[in-house]
Amino acid sequence: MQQELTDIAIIDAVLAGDQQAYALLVKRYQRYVFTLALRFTKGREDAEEVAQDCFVKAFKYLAGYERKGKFTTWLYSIVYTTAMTYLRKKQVDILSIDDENHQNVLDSHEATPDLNTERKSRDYYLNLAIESLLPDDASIITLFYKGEQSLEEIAQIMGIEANTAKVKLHRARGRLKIKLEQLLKSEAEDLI
Amino acid sequence: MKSAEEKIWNYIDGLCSQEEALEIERLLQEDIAFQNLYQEILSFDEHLKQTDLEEPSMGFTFQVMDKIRLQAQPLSLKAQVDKRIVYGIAASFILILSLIMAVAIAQTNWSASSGYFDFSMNYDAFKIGEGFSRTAIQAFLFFDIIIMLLTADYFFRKKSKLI
Repeated sequence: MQQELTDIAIIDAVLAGDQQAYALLVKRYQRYVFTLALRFTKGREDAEEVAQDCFVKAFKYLAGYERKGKFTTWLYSIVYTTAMTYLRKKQVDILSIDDENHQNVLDSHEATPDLNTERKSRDYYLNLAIESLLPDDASIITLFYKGEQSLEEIAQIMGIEANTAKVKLHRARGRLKIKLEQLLKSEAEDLI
Repeated sequence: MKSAEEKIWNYIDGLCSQEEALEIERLLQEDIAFQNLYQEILSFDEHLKQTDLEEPSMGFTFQVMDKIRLQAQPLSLKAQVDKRIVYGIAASFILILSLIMAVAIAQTNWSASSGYFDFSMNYDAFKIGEGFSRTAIQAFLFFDIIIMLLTADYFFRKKSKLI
């Protein structure tokens, strides 16, 4: 069985001139990068655009990756910077969805006629709650739980101190828990 | 003081000290309310770990590779710059700046008998050509001190670790 190539081996191949090898890195991390971008853009189309832009930037500056840390940490720092620039450019309202809007989100989802049981699961609401968080909160949760990044690495990505990242993660989880409880409570009330 | 919730999160994340861990384990055995809160947080943490990643469109990789074809091939950093050259240049600069600083400090009158700090230097020692005026040397030394403080700040910040 052929062993999976490491990130470093792929990077070496790309730097040696094998441009196609980069597709392996894109395939490997596209879901992570796309999810992270989505935490900022809140729209799939824009998230794809940002994610693609990130991979192109990463390719362009691949020689600048110093290999001191994980490749993903370096890649996610590009995603974070690019997504922040996107937010500034588009002047997206980055305020968290307030209670009224929250209800609108719920209403729109409830109005869908073919909503199956699976989608109504706790996971579905958890994703919905993450979507309603501030980009910073949503991205720190995604980086910690899905991006396999330590607090030190998250701090490096976000350009903050490790202790600040720890506090931010704690607060983000607290806010997410409240949002989820609100969503589930609202759902339970509707079912009664 | 940390809240019970914060302590539990730190415990789950493996970020608490051994003493704190022992304290939490004791509370888990003795305190029912704490136990319930722990179970609630643990379940929430498990759910967060199990959430799925979002999937981009089918043609995502193809689209990225299409854009990359238009880009210039990235060169290996080793091919671009030899690190020894960079370190050599950096060492030369540090040596020159250290020498200038050493001469400046050696020539300074540190006694404040006259009521003010006397930075009386022999500027002729620096006079390599006519272009180096007294003001230029002072400005250069001031700039050196600022750079030195910024570098020290950078290193100390880097050393700060997670508590």
